[in-house]
Amino acid sequence: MASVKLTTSDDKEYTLDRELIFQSNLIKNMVTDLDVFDAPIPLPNVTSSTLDIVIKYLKIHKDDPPPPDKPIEKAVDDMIDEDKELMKLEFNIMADVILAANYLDIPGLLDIGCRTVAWHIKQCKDYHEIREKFNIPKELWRSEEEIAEMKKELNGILG
Amino acid sequence: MDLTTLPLDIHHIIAQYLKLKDIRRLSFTCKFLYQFYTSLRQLGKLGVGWPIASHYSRFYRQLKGINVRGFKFKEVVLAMPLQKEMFTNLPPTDSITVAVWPIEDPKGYSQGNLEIEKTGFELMSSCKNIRKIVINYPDWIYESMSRFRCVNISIAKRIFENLTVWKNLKILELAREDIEYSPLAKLLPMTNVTELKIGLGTGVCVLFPIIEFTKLKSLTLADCKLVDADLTQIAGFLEKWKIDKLSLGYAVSDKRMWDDYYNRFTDVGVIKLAESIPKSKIKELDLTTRYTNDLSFIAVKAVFDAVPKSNLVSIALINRINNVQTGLQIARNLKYLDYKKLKIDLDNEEFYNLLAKNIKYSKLRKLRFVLPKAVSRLSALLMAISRHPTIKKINIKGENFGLMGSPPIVSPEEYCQVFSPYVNILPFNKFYIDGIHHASMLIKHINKDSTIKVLTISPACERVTEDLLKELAKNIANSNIKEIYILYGIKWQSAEFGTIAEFFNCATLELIDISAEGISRTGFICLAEKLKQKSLTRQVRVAVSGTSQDPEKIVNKILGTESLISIYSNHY
Repeated sequence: MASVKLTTSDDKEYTLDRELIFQSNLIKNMVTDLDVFDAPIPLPNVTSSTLDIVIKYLKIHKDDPPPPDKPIEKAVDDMIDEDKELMKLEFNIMADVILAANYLDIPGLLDIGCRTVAWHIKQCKDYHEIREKFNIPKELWRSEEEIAEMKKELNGILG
Repeated sequence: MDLTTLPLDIHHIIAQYLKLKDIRRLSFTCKFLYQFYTSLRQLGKLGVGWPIASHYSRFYRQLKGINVRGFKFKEVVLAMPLQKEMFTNLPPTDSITVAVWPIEDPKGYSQGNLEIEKTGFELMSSCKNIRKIVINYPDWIYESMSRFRCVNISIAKRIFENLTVWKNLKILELAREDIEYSPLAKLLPMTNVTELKIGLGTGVCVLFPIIEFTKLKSLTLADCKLVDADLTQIAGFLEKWKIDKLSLGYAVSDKRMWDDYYNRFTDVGVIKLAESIPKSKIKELDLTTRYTNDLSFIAVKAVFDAVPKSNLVSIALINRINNVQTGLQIARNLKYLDYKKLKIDLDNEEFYNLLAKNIKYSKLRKLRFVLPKAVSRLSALLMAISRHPTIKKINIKGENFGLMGSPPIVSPEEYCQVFSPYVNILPFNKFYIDGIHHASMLIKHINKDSTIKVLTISPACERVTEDLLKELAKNIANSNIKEIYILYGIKWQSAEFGTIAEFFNCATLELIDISAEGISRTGFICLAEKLKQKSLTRQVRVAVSGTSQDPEKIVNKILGTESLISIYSNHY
């Protein structure tokens, strides 16, 4: 079976079955349009640890039918158990996976990554937890006065 | 890496899965989240309804800051009349839903707000592609409705007068008790409306003779004070109507103040209608009665007898069964019934056997039944439920759990003997138990394989001692239960609140939700003090009746934070 070589940003080389890696539209187009076969394709935005997770996703979905042209609207937590398991990641790593999916143009992975982030946002009980869970830098925080003002306005309207 | 460093494209995708309340919470988080607002352009659906417009006015102002023009929405939901700014910036869209809700304005409509309404309405008239109009009001308005009545009557009138302007208007929903329907009757045949839903209407009979001249395919007349005479009239017209979906059930549940509006049919009207069905095009029929004793076995049989001679594929009749013969007929015919929810107040062996046998044919999602005296007769039903693809919730109630301090007729031991083999195979996330004794004992059988994570306990008017609550707390601590809801009816005393607070020793419990009517101020203070002592980080919700005095202020004052405890009020 024909294979494709990839090199990650930390110089680790991967040889992957074409069938598997062609779930990435970027790689598929590069290989088919540009006739890139033997030379390793550099992935300057993707580390090996991130690519490992991406490959796990590709293996889970290798037999999936091609995705529909128009995305199907799904509930935020409507995903298969294997995907749920795969997405049990720290936000830092999850963000890297989302960025990699975006770069490699793997729509399915991008969608489940974003959905998982949305799900985590929904699970947070208040803005403090969102800040903590998503590492929001302190310099970007709204001040407590500002929040109090927003809430006051809210209460004023509520009577 | 933090959330803010993700590119905007990614935020657009994330925002598709968020609701406005999530976005509002995000707005407290940090400044960058303006990006989330702009990401709305990708949503395809923009909901600019009453909540944003009034409660979340800051959000609304920020939203206004976005250049709405140039965006392409699939659907826009707007609240009238205050959203005039949105109308002026209305984006190109495939569909517009206009939800006509009165807005709670502290200054009152008497001070010139009708002018806003007029302007808003003129703008609305200019939107040619409105697909759906909803004239409704949110729950909170029930109590102070008279203040807004005049506003909506005039909007409804103007909407009716202009119905023919909106060529794309397909769906018209009217949930108002004060609308005059004669103008609608005159104009409806000249519109392209295919779906008409009226709730809480009076005088809807004026519509009956004109329906044959409309394009209506679906008609809902829920809570319209319909009686047998109206049903007889409908039966007379049915042959001429093109409608394939007819709903004459009830829409407003648990809102006792609308009690007068429920459709009240008896055998006479239902039999008349059933006889006319074979000549009609009706495929789906909803005659769900609020008053369960109104329909007898004969009427139910008449409807089922019409099935083979008609186009009927889906029926909803009674969703609360308390008559044995009717119950047996329904249990035999479950495959025709379009029930999502069914309430059964029967303690009859044949009925439970039939239900166990036929439940696999049903589309039920929720099932409520009483605990029979001979509890063992539930075994076959529980097995059938555990294999059912759609039932996600069962709710078992009844006096056999015990009444007003007297011992239960079905002991907790007998109850557990029947339920314990099934409690870990029932594919539910949520489980509902009447009776704190029974709940406390059954929890011991819920093991790690169980999918049950949320437990709702409705005290069965039983005497709740501190020891019993402690036992319950201990058993919850040893279970996998994450959330517990304790419902209704108990006037919790201070000591009991203290014991409830002990639940928070449970390692896994993430939410406790107590619905306590008539709760005392002392009770709240006690709960809050207990929580404070424990420096708890988990969430507590206390649902209280509208009669309680400022519980939120009391508890928040004591706790000094709102993240620990949130209190909401029930508005009924």
